Amino acid sequence: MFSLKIKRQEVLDLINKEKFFVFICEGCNEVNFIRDEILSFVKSLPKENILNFEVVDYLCNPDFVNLYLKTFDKKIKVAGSILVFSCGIGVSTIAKSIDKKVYTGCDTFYIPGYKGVNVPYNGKFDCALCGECYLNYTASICPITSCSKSLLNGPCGGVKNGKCEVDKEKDCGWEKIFERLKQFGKLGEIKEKVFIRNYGK
Amino acid sequence: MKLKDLFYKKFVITSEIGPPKGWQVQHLIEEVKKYLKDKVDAINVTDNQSSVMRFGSLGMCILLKQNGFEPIYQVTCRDRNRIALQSDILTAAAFGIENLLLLTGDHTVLGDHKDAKPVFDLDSVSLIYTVKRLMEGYDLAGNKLEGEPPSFCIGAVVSPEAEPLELHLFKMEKKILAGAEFFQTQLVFNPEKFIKFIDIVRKNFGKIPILAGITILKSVAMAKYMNENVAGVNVPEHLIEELKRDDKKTKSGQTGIEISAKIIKEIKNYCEGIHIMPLGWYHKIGDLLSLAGL
Repeated sequence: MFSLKIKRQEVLDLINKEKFFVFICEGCNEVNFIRDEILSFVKSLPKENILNFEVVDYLCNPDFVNLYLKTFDKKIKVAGSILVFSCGIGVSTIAKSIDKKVYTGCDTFYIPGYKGVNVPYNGKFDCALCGECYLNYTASICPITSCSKSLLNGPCGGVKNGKCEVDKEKDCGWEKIFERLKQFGKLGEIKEKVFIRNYGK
Repeated sequence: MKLKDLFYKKFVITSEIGPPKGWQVQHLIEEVKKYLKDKVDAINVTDNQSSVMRFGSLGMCILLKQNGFEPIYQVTCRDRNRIALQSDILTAAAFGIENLLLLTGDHTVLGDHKDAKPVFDLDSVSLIYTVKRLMEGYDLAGNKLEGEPPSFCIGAVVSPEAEPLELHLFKMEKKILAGAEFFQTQLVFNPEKFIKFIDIVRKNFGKIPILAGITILKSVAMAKYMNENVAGVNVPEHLIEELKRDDKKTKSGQTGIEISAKIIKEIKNYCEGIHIMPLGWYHKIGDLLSLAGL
């Protein structure tokens, strides 16, 4: 799942230099979309530089993009440049389809989580979609997301008062895993195992 | 010389050096010659300690070896993936480095390149396992190594005063099962806690050599800083009071030396050696060792 964040300063720095046609992607079930935020931001930009904006969907689909480019061809020609508010895939798809300057107005963040989980980004999803689930060994607490180093074989030496060395507010994931494994009498099962992540997946 | 050949024959003393942020390291070699020669059995070289970029541990270990010292090559998992780690460890073997200290490593956000990618492709346990495989003649992917396999003595770390202790004992056991042959501990300031830890280790894991971590407290501020920020370190209030008592003596290093010498005397019958982390005070190591009767 992705989430978007507007590149406010970058867009403001850019906006006076050229004239733009703006595409705003409607999003999909892969994106935690910040439509209202983007719309109000785009509307706040100077009208002499933002000639038009259109909210469309599936900017990742080349066929759709070609159709949009054809539909808005005249307006795009007048503007000269295109500013896109979508995930990185949408921006790249447009850039591949037209010989004009294409800019992105967003940063795209990967959020570990599930398709269609439409909650505000808070970085607290408990699945990294790693392709090699460890939950059966770790009392169903994910070591990839709960440990700052994504360690698979126990806590590091940086745990102090149950908190992580990276952030004193963050609980040590491995301390939680340990306590829960102990509670269920399952510590023995992982003592002799050496887990090594498979990044080939 | 492997450390494992020394344990149980003598009380082992190791120390450590942190390479500088620069390439001219001759002065450090000179300091080691001046203050550590004939005083310690081996010298550990930290690997970009606290995630601060410095001269490399492997290079420094090679220089130590060439100057007649026994290095312990510290390897962390923060900066290199499994390919680079294995490659560097094979390189170490060619330069006659026989002792390794394998750790996970601090997170990059604690250091001076906070934007760097934290690697952690392996961790301390899987790195120990990897070295074990190399010593059996295979790399981590199962490919056969050419020629004779390397031979190392594998060290690991543990925090005997961390809470909850059982969490750290769990990790310690995983390291032993993976192939750790000796342990260097986090700093010891509470002998009774340390002795309790040793009892548990002996009862559960049998005979595994332990080097107790020792430093020289330089100031009240240092003690308080460590209590606040360093995981597994607890300088008790009575030691902080002792440091406060005579400012001049503390500044001279004498109070810290007396405190550490006392700790060494209290624990030395319970462990196989000590590891001194001088934090730059190489010149005090001689005084500490003689006061501790070593």
